[in-house]
Amino acid sequence: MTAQNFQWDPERVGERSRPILHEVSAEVVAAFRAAVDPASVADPSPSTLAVRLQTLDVPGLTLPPAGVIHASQEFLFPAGRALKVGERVRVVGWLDSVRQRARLAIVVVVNQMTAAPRDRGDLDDRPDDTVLLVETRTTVMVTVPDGVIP
Amino acid sequence: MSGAQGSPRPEPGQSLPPQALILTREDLRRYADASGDHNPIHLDDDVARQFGLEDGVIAHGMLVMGRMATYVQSTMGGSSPTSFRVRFRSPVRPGIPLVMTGHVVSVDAETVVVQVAVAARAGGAPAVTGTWTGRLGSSQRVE
Repeated sequence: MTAQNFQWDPERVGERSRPILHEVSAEVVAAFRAAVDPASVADPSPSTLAVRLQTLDVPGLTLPPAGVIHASQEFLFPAGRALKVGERVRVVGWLDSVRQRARLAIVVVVNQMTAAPRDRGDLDDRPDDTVLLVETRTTVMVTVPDGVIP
Repeated sequence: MSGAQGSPRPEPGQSLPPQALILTREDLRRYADASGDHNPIHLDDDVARQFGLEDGVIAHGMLVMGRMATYVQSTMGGSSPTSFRVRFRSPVRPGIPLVMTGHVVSVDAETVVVQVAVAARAGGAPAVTGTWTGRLGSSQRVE
């Protein structure tokens, strides 16, 4: 689900990725649930868990290359509602900042997940009329290799 | 995210019951499959050591964060999250007995703020700390 990441190019800070469309599947919710909330697997209703499981790994959220240090993670849920199984969402991400400290680069990546308002059909119906469901802010530290001039 | 009805309103300073946690290699593999994050530092000891992790693989930060979210939400009754922020202070390794703790920092008419931490059960500084903010359930709010 998170495999669709965009390139970490420090020359492209602020440049938004191509939108990724994603449908919330029961299978993925079940897989996250088994990993993150195993005690709940006996509960037959996954709907209330969707926001806290599905959005903990937003499609498009970066998969940092091996060796980077995941320093902090933020999730904001401005819409205040859960995702539903079968709901379609759109995710856009960008490098928000790259700061250099000695041989360490501190990289902040932001992703936003939007969906159609509940009472207005699917994303395709009115693609410009969406609600922001989740915003994620990922901060990682990357060691700058010898020979690379920051 | 409606949660349980009739849950008591949280009080500032209230401690969450500590909860034991041991992440297994199977947990890491399961999370890798669910998330698509097959970064070998979470799955392969040899590769992890190549990246300076002398004790081998470490847990996905997001897996730990997910367990923390589950822990807080399971004790906060009908509250639903509006934000969750964590800092990964040191790696979490599989097989190490951990404990999750938390306490209510503040409560107002509609929201509750909880600080949560994951540390080795043997003691020492927390490996992960976080702040969870939630909207109180209808039975918990002050009208």
